[in-house]
Order: sequence, then C-alpha cells, then structure tokens
Amino acid sequence: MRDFSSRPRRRPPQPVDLGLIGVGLLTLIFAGYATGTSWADFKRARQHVADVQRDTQAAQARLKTLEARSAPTAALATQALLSADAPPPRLLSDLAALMPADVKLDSLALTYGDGIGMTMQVSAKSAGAYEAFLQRLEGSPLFDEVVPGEEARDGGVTASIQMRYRGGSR
Amino acid sequence: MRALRARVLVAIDATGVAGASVSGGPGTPRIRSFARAPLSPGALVPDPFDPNVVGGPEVQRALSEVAAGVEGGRGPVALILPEGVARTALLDVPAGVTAREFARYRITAGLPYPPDEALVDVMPLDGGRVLAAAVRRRVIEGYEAVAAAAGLDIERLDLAPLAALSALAREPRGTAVSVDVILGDRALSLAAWQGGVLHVFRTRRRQSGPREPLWLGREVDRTAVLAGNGSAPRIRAVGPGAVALLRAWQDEGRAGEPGWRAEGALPVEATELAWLGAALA
Repeated sequence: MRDFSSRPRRRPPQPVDLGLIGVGLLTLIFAGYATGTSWADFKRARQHVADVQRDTQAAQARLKTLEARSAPTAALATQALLSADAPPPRLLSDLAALMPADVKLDSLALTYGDGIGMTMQVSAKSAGAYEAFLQRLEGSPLFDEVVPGEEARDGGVTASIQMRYRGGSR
Repeated sequence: MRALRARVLVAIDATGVAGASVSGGPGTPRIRSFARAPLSPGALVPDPFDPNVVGGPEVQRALSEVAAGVEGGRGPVALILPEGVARTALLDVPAGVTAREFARYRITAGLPYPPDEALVDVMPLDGGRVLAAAVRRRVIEGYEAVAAAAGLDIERLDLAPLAALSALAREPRGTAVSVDVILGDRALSLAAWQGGVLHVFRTRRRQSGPREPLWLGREVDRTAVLAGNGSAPRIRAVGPGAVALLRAWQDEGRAGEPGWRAEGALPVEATELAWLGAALA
C-alpha cells in the first residue's frame, strides 16, 4: 500500500504477516514438543547408563569376591599337588644328605606356591663346615636360588638360608 | 480481510477537511459516517514546493472536528493529500528492478529541488507500468505536523489522484479509449486508458468559472488523442464539482458518468469525493 509518510510508520498486519506468525507459532510449538521429547529420551538414556554402571560395579565386586575366594583354594590345591610330588620326608632326606656332620638343622619352614620355598635356620660348629654346606647346596641340582641370610659367628656359625627345592620336579 | 474492518479516511484540500468511515468490499462500499469542516480561503494552499498549511490553527481545528465526527476518526487513519502537491510520471519498469527504486531514479532527476528531499512511491499498473509520484518532504511534514497536533494517528499518507485512480482502474474497460477526470479543489488529473492500459496521465491547475467545463472538455479530448485514435472517449469524473461538470457536459452533448457510487448517508454524491477511492480500491 502506498505511503508518502516522511518516516516509516507501522502498517496493519497483512494476511501474509499473520500467516508467517502462524507458521512461527507452529514451529515454536513443534520445537517445544521436540525439546520435551528429546529431554525425556536423554533422561532415559542417562538412567540406562547409570543402571549399566551399577551393574558393572556389582559384577566387578562379585568378581573380586570370587577371586578372593579362589586364591586360597588354588594355594591349597598347589600345596596338595606339590606335597604329593615332593613330600616333606623326601625333602628332608635330600637336605640331610648334603649336610656335613658338623652342621645341624635348627628349624625349617616350607612355603607352598610356585614351587616349594624353604627358610631354614642352621648351626655349624665351624665356619668351614658352614661354607662346605653352602657349597653343597649351590652345587646340588635339587636346590636352587640359595640365598644365605643373617649369620652369627662366635666360634661356630648360626645362620639362616633361603632356597627353593626342585626335587619335586625330578 | 481488509474488507472486514472499517477504513477511516481523512482528506484535506483547499476548501476543507473531510473524513469518512467506510466498510464493505470494493464493489459495495458503505459509508458508515461522514464529516466535513470547511477552511477559509488561504488557510491551506496545495503546492508542490512550499509547505501547504498556512493557517495552522484553523487547519488543526478542522482536522480535529472531522476526527471527532467520524467513527474511529482519531486513528489509525489514512490521510489523503490533495491534487497539486506531487510530480507524477508514468514509467515502464524494467524486469528485475524494484519499481519504487526505479521510480526514484527516474523521477527525481527532473525535480526542481534536491532528490533527497523527494518522497517517492508508486501505483502499480498492468503491463509492468507504474504511476510514480514524488512529493517534497517539507510539504509532507507540514501535513504530518498539523495532523499530529490535531491528535490524529496517521496510518499512512496517500495522494487523492492516486487513490482515485486506484479505484477507477479496477473497473474493466473495453478496447476504446477512456478518460478519467480526477478533480481537486485547485488542480485536476486526466488519465487516458486504451485496451486496459494507462497511456497518459496529466495534471493541470483548475480554471474555476463558467468556462471550465468547455476548457476541461478540450483537455479531455487532447488527452484522448494522446492515448489513442481520436475517437470519442468514455469519460468518468470524480472529485469536487464532478456532478456539475457532468451536467454541463450533458448540456453540451458530451457524455460522461460518475466515477463511482456508494451506499450510506452522504451529504454529497459519492463521486464528488475523489479521495474515497482510497477505500474502494
């Protein structure tokens, strides 16, 4: 519509303006609906993730419990197996065969795991007897990883020795 | 949608201010209310160069009186400016060009004032043509100021000749030449059509007096010749004095008819109100 006004004036809304407003309102309503739906989907997805995380944590906890339960069982099984292959009497017999006459066994502890670990306390009347015993141990194919421990020398020798028994695998 | 609400027009010319509230569609307009307030000579002088409102308080009072007398007269209203304030040009608008910008480019070059002082708008016509009009800003601002002082809420400003021509252009025409005479208090416009195409649009100062019908008849003939083959044109007349003009022509043996009619209470024939075309288009 013609207008010779010296400055722009408001004009009454034309049908096309009202149509565009209607389209805008419909778009707004649709966008609101879509946003609401998306938000609900997002909340459902977030809940699902939380459920999965909770299940995962529960599963991990169960796994740890089972592992904790299975560890002693495995150790006992290993001990039983090694005890069958290398019974203590034979181990003592092999050890006694290497001990000089001036060396005596004060104590012996066996540890079952990956092989049989031995920690023993010995007393020797002389340093020479003790050294001879160590040499025999290190030279024996029945024992390895021989590690001499603390020693006390007062004429004789009192010492601890750690080693691993391989006799069971013969 | 536009036809569902009443349109309020307030027209101003040298002899007075008039207003009407019009409802109904273009084919069956109905005048719901009408008011008119006269102006003393010299209070308003239609002119294309200088501010037209000379007697500001009187014009303001007349506008206020009309606004009070018309249903919805305070606004929003279309303020219709009189004949004789605009420079007009009939233009063929090239394809791909905005009509208003093209009109500004073409019409301002010939104006006797700086182009940036021109307010330009167009009336679209069939065949890619437009009737462009330019009004000097200071002229428009004078009317806006007095209307605002009278408390009118102006929706838009239109020109009486373009408003009238918009309504006259709606009626189907044959292939013969027809001439529309649009009268104002101080000036008039002549529009010549042939085959539904506007070929000529001219503006003249009125020559009031007993010889005006004869002078105007010759102007109609000249306009018809410019538009076509010189055969007797169909003539329609609107604006102040149209009824007397048609009667005088009838006495001379020249046929003419009123531009339009309207229902409702009007103290004058509807064809006497050229600005009413703003509600009929």
